[in-house]
Amino acid sequence: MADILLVDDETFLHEIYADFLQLHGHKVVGIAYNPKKVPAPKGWADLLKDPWVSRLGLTGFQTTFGTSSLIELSKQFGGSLTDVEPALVELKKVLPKVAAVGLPAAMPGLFQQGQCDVMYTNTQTVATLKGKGIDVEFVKPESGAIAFYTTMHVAKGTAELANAYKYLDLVVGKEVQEALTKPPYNFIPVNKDVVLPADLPMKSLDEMSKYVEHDWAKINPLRAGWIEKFNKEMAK
Amino acid sequence: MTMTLAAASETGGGSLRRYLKLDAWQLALPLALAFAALFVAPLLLLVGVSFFNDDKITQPGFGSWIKFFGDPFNYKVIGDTLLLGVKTVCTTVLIGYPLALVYIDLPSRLQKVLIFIIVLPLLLSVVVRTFAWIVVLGREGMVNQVLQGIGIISEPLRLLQTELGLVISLTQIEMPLMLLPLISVMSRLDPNLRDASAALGASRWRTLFTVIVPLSMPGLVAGCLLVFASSTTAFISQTVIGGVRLIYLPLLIWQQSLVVYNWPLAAVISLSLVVSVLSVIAALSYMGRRSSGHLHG
Repeated sequence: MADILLVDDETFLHEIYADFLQLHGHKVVGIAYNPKKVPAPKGWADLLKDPWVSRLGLTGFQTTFGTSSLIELSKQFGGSLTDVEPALVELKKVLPKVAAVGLPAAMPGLFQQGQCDVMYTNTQTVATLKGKGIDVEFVKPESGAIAFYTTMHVAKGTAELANAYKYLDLVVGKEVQEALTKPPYNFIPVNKDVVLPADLPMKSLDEMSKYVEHDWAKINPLRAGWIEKFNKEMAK
Repeated sequence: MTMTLAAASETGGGSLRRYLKLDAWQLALPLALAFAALFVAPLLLLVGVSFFNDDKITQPGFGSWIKFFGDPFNYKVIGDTLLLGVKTVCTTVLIGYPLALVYIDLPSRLQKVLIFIIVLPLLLSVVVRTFAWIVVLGREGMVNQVLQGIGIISEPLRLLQTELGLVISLTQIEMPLMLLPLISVMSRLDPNLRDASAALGASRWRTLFTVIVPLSMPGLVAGCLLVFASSTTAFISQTVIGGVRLIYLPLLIWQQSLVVYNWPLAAVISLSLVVSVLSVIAALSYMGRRSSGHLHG
């Protein structure tokens, strides 16, 4: 993995929000549901109750959205950023009723086929499904939607530093950021000059400062163990 | 081996060999080198990587092996993976063998049609075939719609993300691998042998079990080996149709290598898959040789 080079020269980053250096996109994680099949859930804990639990699609810690959703679920039952045990315990109790447990990449397909009607996912997936004409709505859970960022980093000791900066500048520039908000990417931009897509759960990027953020430096050493735990708890 | 090659060299290949002044081993050298570079060397690298304790591959040791085999859960995963292969082999034999028997008795025109139908799935990528099964087996899929339509069931059946659904779909996906070797061997069966058996008073069932099955054994064994190897390692089908609650070795390998980046542990699990699948294949081959050995004795 490359070492991160901190950006000292901010002169070319004048177009983006002051908080979002090195970032080139956002994703917001919450709950997606089919409004024609189930009512809107209010929060993470609702996922484990009827009528949602029998239509729930679960996924594990293999991706960012899965990990952060399970952390938030765990917090509802006394867990924390580094303790997901309560979520696994509660999931195990309702496991026979759950509609589907799949790989993260398979979840949109299962939702589209009606195999599950409620799942935790990010705004990008919801926008993609909506774009294909599928009945899906996004809900910000009561305890807060989760925000995470997709970042770009310059490799330490690179021979192409000037070009790397030019590339960073290009990606956070208005043209590329606008293109990234459209299908099939459906990103949330970092550039304040870009108009936000209409179906996002926020009116402006300032609202995101109120969203839940996770400290991934604390999560990463634990994730391998969580993946193994999830396997064992979910195995038939 | 040399004698067979010498016999072959008397025909077309011989003149080229004499012209190039090459021995048999020299002719085999390009393929052997490619095999060594592209298969044996990476396999040895995999074995080497497995003997490290940490995911950064800096401390040599048996740590990863102890971690994997010290956890009883993993024995269940190995067992389930091999059992999935066995179940798929059984279902493909049960459906494929009668189909092959039908094939050999068909007129040549219909044989061509049947071969086309059998090979047709192979023209599609296995990923496409796997995703098609979601549409068939899903809650709102074809099977449930038909059964609910005729009134056999009132609630949709749970077929996706169950082992039953997985075995059904793997049977279809792997069927060409069983049928093609079987048909190839059974087409070369001397039809006089069947007639002779009937003429000597054997019933059709007796002819089947004492004449046809032993003679078709090489094709049956080849089909079983291919289906077993393919179904135990069918990562896409296992995870997409079986879901993440059915845990098999390919899923663990993917998690350790492409999600967690723990290469030594991924190497350990990969080698466990290779060794366990090869052991079953070796046993199947041995049984196949034993049962057809007495035919030529």
